[in-house]
Amino acid sequence: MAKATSMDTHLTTPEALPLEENAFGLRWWLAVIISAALVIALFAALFYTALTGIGVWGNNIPFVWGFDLANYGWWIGMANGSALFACLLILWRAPMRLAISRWAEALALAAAICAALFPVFHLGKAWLSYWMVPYPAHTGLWPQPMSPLTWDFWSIFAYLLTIASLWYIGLIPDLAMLRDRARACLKQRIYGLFALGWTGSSRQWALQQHCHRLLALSVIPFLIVMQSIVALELAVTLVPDWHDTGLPVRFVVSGFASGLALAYFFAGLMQSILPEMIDVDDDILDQIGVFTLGAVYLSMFVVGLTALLEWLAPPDSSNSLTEWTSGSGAVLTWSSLFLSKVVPQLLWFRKIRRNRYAAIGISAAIASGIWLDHLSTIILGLAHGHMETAGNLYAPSIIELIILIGTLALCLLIMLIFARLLPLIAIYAANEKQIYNQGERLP
Amino acid sequence: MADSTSPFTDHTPKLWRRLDELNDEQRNITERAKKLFPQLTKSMLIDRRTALRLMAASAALAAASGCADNSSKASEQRMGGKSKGPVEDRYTLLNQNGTAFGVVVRTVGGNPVKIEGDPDHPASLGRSNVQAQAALLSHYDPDRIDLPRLGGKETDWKKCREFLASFSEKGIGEGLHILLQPTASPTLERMIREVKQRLPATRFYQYRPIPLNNIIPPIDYQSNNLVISFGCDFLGAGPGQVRHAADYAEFRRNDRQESKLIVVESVPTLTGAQADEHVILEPRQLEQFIQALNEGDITNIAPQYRDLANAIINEPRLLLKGNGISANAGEIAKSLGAVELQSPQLFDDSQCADISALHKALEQDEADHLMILGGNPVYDAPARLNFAQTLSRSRVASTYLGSEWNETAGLCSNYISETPELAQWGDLRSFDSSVGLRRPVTSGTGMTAIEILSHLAGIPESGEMLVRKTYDAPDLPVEQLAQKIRSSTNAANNMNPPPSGKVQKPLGIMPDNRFALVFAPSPHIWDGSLANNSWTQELPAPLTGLAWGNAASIAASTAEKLGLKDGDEIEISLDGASIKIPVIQLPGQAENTLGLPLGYGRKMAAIGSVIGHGVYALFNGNFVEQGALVTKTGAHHDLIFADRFMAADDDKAVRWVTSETEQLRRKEEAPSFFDPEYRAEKQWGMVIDLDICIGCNACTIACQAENNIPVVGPEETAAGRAMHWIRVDRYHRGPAENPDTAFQPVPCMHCELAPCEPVCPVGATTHSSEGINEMTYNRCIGTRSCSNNCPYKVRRFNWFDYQAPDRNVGMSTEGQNPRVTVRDRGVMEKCTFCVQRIEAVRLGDDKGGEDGMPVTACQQTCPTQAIIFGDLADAQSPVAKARAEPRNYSLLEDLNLKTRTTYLAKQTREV
Repeated sequence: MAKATSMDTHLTTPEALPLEENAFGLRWWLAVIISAALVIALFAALFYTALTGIGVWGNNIPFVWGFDLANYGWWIGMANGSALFACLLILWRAPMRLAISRWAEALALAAAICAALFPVFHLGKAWLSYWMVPYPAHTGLWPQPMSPLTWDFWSIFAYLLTIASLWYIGLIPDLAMLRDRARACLKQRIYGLFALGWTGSSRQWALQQHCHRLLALSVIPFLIVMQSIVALELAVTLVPDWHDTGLPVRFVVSGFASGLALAYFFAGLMQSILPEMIDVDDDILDQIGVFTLGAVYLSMFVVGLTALLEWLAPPDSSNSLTEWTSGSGAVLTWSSLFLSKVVPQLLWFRKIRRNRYAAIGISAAIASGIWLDHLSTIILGLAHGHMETAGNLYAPSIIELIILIGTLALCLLIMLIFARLLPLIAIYAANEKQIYNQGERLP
Repeated sequence: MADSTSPFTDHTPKLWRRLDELNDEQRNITERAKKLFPQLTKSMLIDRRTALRLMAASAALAAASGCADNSSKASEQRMGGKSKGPVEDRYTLLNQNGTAFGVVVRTVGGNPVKIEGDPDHPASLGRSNVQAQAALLSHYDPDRIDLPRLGGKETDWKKCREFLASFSEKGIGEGLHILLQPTASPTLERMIREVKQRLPATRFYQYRPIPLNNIIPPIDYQSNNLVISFGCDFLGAGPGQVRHAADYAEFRRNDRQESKLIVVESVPTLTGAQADEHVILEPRQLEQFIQALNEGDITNIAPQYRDLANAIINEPRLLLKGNGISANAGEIAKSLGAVELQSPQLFDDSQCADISALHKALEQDEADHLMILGGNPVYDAPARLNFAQTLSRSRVASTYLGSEWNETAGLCSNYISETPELAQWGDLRSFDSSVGLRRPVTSGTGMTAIEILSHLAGIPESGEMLVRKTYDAPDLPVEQLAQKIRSSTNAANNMNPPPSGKVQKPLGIMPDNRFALVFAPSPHIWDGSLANNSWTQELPAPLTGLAWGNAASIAASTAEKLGLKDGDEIEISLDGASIKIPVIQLPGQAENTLGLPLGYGRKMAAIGSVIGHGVYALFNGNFVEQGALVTKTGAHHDLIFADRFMAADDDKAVRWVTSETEQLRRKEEAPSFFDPEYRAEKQWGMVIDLDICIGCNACTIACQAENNIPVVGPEETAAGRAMHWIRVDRYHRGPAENPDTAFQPVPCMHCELAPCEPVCPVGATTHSSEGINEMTYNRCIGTRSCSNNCPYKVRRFNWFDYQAPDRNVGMSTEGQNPRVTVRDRGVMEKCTFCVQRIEAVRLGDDKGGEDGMPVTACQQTCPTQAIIFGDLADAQSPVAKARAEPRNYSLLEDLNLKTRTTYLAKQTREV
C-alpha cells in the first residue's frame, strides 16, 4: 500500500488540485503549444477543403472515400476501446479505476469528437451537413431511413451524448469540490454552475453513483452498435470486398484493441508529461498492457476467422483474400498485421509492459496497425469493383495528412486542457479510498 | 459470377482490357503496386498547379463570396421567364478538313448552344462526329482575337480593307504569293480565278496536311458482300466517318452471315476493330502480301493468312485503299483488278502549286508579300521544307488569316482574324461532291478567304454577295438560295485526274533494326487544328484510351524487345530529323512499326500548347515511312488516361454470339420483392447495339455538349476525375497480336433496383415514376456513397467548382445548354437519359424524333444509330423491340439490378 500512500498525499494537499499553477510545468506548456499549433493547422485544412472542394484531397472515381472514412472508423474505434475500458472499470469497481476511469472517459469523448469531424467535413457541401438532422424543413423532406449514413448520424449523435453524460455525471462531485475550494468569485460561479447545486447529501451521492453506473452499463451496447454502423456503411454496399457480414465484428474488436492501446498510450504519455497530476504507476501500466494484449488476441481471432472463411468459401471472381494478401495492396495488409498483431506480442513480457516508453511505442504500433487496416479496407475494397480494377489508386494529399495529424493533436489538446481545468482522477473516489486505507491501517 | 452451370455461359475466351492483364501470372507485387499506386511513388510536394490553386483559394476566401449555391445559374440566366431570346434551329455547313458537314445549330437568343447533324445532308444524315460536336466549343474560344493586326499593331477593319485593296491598285500582283488551305468551295475557286484575272502575276499555292482529295466517297454495298480495306480507315475520324459508319451499319445489320469485311493494316484502326478478318502486317510485308495477291501466288504469304488470301483472290470484292499503306503498296493494289473506289476531286487544285514550290520561291527571294489564308503551315508543313525557318529568314512581308493565334500567326507580320466558322458565308462540297450553302447562324467579326481574295481582285464584297454571285442569285431569299445551290451541278467540273501516288523509296530489304512509321490524324484533334479545344483533348482516344496527349503505338512484342514500357520515351530518327515521344503498347499492331498520331505538340495553341508530342518533324506527306531508327532515351512520361480501369470482373461484359438463335435474354425473372408494375404511362429505357458500335466517341462528346459537362484539365484527368457521363469501354478477346476488339458505351444504367438510391442519406438520388434514376443536384450534400454503391461507376463528382470562371477550360456561359442545370462544387452528377429533352417533348417545346419520342443526345449523334432510346411500356417502340431481341443482355446481370439500359451482343460469323 505504499504506492497508494504516495498518491493519497498528493490528492489531499489542496496545492495539487487542478488550476494550481505550479502543477503545470514547462512540459505541459510545450505540449499545449505544439498540439494547439497542429489543431490550428487542422482547422485551416478543414476550412480550406470546405471552401475549395474535396478535390484538394486525393480522392477520385472510384476512390470517393479514402483517409476521411478510414480516419473516421479508426477514431470511433479508439473512442470505443477507451469507453469500454472506463465502463468496465466503473462496473467492476476495480481498484485501478481511481487512477484511470476519469481520463479514460475523457479520452473516449476526445476521440469521439475527433471522429465526429469527419462525417461533416468529408461532405462535398459540409455546410449542409445539418440536412442529416430530421428537422421540419420547408421542403417536407426527411432524412432517408434506408441509408447507413443516416444510421450513422443517429449513432454518433447518441454516442457523443452518452459518453459526454457518463463523463459529466462522474465529474459532478469533483466540480462541487472545486467550487468549494475556489478562491476567485468567477471560478466559484463557473464551477458552481456545472456542479448543478451539488451538496454532497447521501441522497445525491446515491443517485449520482446509480446514474453513473447505469450510464456505464448503457454505453456498452452502444460501442458495438456505433462501430457496427461504421462498418455497415461499407458492408451494405455492393462493393465485393466490403459486402461481408463479418465486417462489423472485425471493426468492433479491432476498435477495442486500438482503444485500449490509446488508453495504454495515454497512460504512458501522461506519466511522462504530467507525472504530478496523474498517478499511473507501473502496476497500472502492467494491467492495461494485459488488457490490450487480450483485445489484440480477440482481434486476431476474428481476423483469422475471416481469413479462414474466405479461404474455405467457394472461389468467386472477387477473390479478395488473394487480392489482400498478394495483390497490389498487400503491403498495407501485411504491415497492418505486423503492427497490430505481431508487435503487441512483446506485451507478454512483464518488464516491457511496465515500461512507459515501451507502452507508448507498442500502443502506437497497435493503433497505427489498426489505422492501416481501416485504410486498406477502404482502398482495396474500392480498388476492386464489379466492372473494373482501378488503375490510378488513391494517394492522400498533404491536406489529408495535415487533417490526420491534426486530429491526433486535437485529441491530445483536449486531454491537456482537461487536465488543466478538471481533475484527471476522481477526487471523491480517491478520498473514499484514502479513508478506507486509513481504516485498514488502524490496528 | 463465374458459375459454369449458367445457361448464359458462352464459349468466348476471357475478356481483357489492357495488355498487362494477359500475363498476369507473373505478378511482381512491387511492380504492380508501382503501376497501381503511381502517385504513392512520387513525393507529395506541392506542385505548381496546387500552389496556384492555393492562391486562388485564398483569393476566393478574401472575396468572401461564401458558400453560395450556384447550382441554378444556367437556368436562372437564360430560362424561366428571363430567357435571353428565342430558341431557333439554324442550318449551315461545317468545314471538316475542307469538305462540308451539314449541321443544325440550336441557338438561344442568337448564341449557339448545340450542334446536331443535318438530316438532309449526305455527310451527316442527322448524326454527327466528334469534330462537329467540338465545333461548338471552338466557337466560344476565349483566345479568339477579334481585331486585325497590321505590323504587329491592332487596327480596325477599315484600315485592314484598305491594306488589302492596295494590292489590286499597284501592278499586276508581282511578288504576291498566296498559300491557301484547299477547301472544296466553288466560290473559292471562282475567287482564285478572279484574282488571277486582275493580278495575273500572283502565284497560288495550296497545302493541307491531310489531303482533301483522297477521301473515300460513300460506299455502295449493294453488290459487294466482300469488302477489303487496305489501310483505309473509313470508319475512323474524318469528314466521311458518319456517312461511312451509317452505311456500314446498314450493311452489317442486314446480313451478318453473308457480308464480310477484311482489313489489312499495320496499325490498328476503328475500321480494323470491326473487321471479320483482320490481317496485321508490317508495311513491307503488306506490300509483299498485295504483290502475292496480285500474282495469285500465295506461297509467300504467312500460313495463317493463306486461306484468306485465296478467298480474296477468288471472290468478287470491293477494294478500298487508304493512307494506312505505303504508296507503293497502293500502286501494286491497283492491278488487283477489283472494283476500286475512286476518290472524288473536291477542290480544283490546278490553279495552285504545291507548298514546295512556295518554299523554293521564298528561298530564292522571289516573293514580296506572302499571304497565308488559313491552315497552320508553320506547324504542319512537310518537315523537309523547314517552313518556319524559311519564313522567318526570308524578308518577305506576310499576312495570315486564321481563327486562332498560332505558330503561323506568330511568324507573320500581319494578322487578320477569320470570321468564326458559325458566322461565315460560303459554299462547300460534301465528300460525295454535292454542294451546299454555308450561312451564318450567329454573328461574328472577321474576314474569310473569299472576302480577302475579293479585295485583292479589286471587287470587294461581302461573303454573302460573293456566294450569291457564284450562283447568279443576287436577291434570292436564303432558303431558295440554299435550294438552288444544292441542286446546282457545280460539282466536279474542271477537275484534274487524281494525282498518281507520290514516288517513294522502293521498299526493298529493310535492316532488322529499322522501323516503319505509320502516321494518322489524331482521332479527336485531327491535324492539330482542334488542339485548342478542351473537349477533344479530354476525350480518350478510342484505341489507346489516351487523353490530353499522344504516344507512339507499338506492338507489345517489339516493346519487349526494346525494353520499353508504356510511357517510356523513344527517339525516332528518319532522314536526319528526329523526335522524342513516349510509347504505348497497342494490341493488334504489327511488329517493328510505330503508329504516330499527328496534331499534338503544338507550341502556340492556348490550352493545347505543349500537350502531347509533335510528330510533324518526321512527316513529309507520306503516311507510311520506312527505315526509321528507334532508340530508347531512358526518360519516362506519365501518360494520361481518362479512365484507367483494368480487368473486368464480369467476363460477360461484352458478349459475342454466333447466330441470332442463341438466347442471351433471361427467360425467367429472378424472385424479387420488387413490384414491377409501372407507375406511369411512359417507361424510358435504352438499348445499345454493341454489334454496330464503332467506338468513335461521338456520344461522349455530344453528351458533354448537351449536358454542360465541365472539362477538368490534364492534371485532374490524370487524377481520375474526368466528368464524362457516358464512357466508351474497350474490350479485347484473344491473343494480343491480333485480338477481337469491342467497344461498349457505358452511361447510367437507370437500374429499377438502383443501389445508389437507398444509400443517399438526404434522398438526393431517387427514382421517377417513369423509371429514370434522377439526381436532385440542390439536394445533394456530397457524401459520395452513391458512387461507392454504383457497380458500373458511372457517377461523377464535382471535386472542385469546375465551372468557376478561373477554372473553367470548357464551355463559356453563353454556350451552355439553358435547359440543363450547371452543377456546382460538391455534388454528384450522372447521365439523366437527357431528362430535359424528355420534358421538352412532353411540353411541346421540342418535336423529338420521327415518332415524336424524345431523342437523347448520344442517340441523336451516334453515326451508326447503335443507341436506341424510347418507351419500354409501348411494345411497338423500337427500344422495346430491341430489348426483346435474343441478343439482349444486361451488364452485371447477376446483381439483379433490373437495368433500364441493356446491350445487344456482338455477332460473329459462324465458323
